[in-house]
Amino acid sequence: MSETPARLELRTESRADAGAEVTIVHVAGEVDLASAPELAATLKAEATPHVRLVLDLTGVPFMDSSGLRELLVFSRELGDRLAVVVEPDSAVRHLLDIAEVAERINVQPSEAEALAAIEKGARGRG
Amino acid sequence: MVEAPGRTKTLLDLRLPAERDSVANARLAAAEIAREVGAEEMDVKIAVTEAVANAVVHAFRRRAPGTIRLRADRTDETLAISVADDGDGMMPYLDSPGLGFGISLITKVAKDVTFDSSDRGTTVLMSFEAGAEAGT
Repeated sequence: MSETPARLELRTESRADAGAEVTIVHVAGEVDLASAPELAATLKAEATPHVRLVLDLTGVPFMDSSGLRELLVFSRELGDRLAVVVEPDSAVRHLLDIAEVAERINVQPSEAEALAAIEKGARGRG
Repeated sequence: MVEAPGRTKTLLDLRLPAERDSVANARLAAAEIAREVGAEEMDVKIAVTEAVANAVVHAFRRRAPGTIRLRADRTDETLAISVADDGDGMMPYLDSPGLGFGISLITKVAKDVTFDSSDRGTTVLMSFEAGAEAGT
């Protein structure tokens, strides 16, 4: 084995979108049993009562059921205040499809569409 | 050298400590084999990851972490991968980090899968379609 397992990199940014603040968590690296707790800790720290959160998984080349669990847990907790960016032909999309859980997560193909989906959800609540 | 039909060739035989970091190491090794034999790399990665993660999380709850053996064999156009641990055997747990998705995912991505469990450990044997061998 010449390769070394990649570490997970997490970057959080806050952005004002249509006057409201949105937190975007960018994830880069593989999410599995070893790294999913780090992702969970970041999401837990950001999941405040009124947060609007975009989870950008476009930098994730592999995810297993440990990561899937966190997506489902935080999707249930945040509802339409969470949008997850997953590219259509990606490994994460493949995982969501074979696990048959895509409809339980607010999956969007791009950051722009994720922001729009969150805004739509906020208008629906307002 | 042209292999005789039906002959099994061992491509990988790796022993890993039953710890979380071994999941990625097993995945990388299996991905390399999948690419080498023309099997569906992402499906092999998912299956091996889930099988090794299951062993790390569940197999050694009542004893010190042992060893996980990852083996890959090719026979004609089939890639057989086994993940074997020397733990306690399979038992249902409600606190699985993967919410119980692991085994379900393995059955969906592998062509065939068998689970062999006893109090001396668990072996998950998975098979995948491989591409045609060079020279055949």
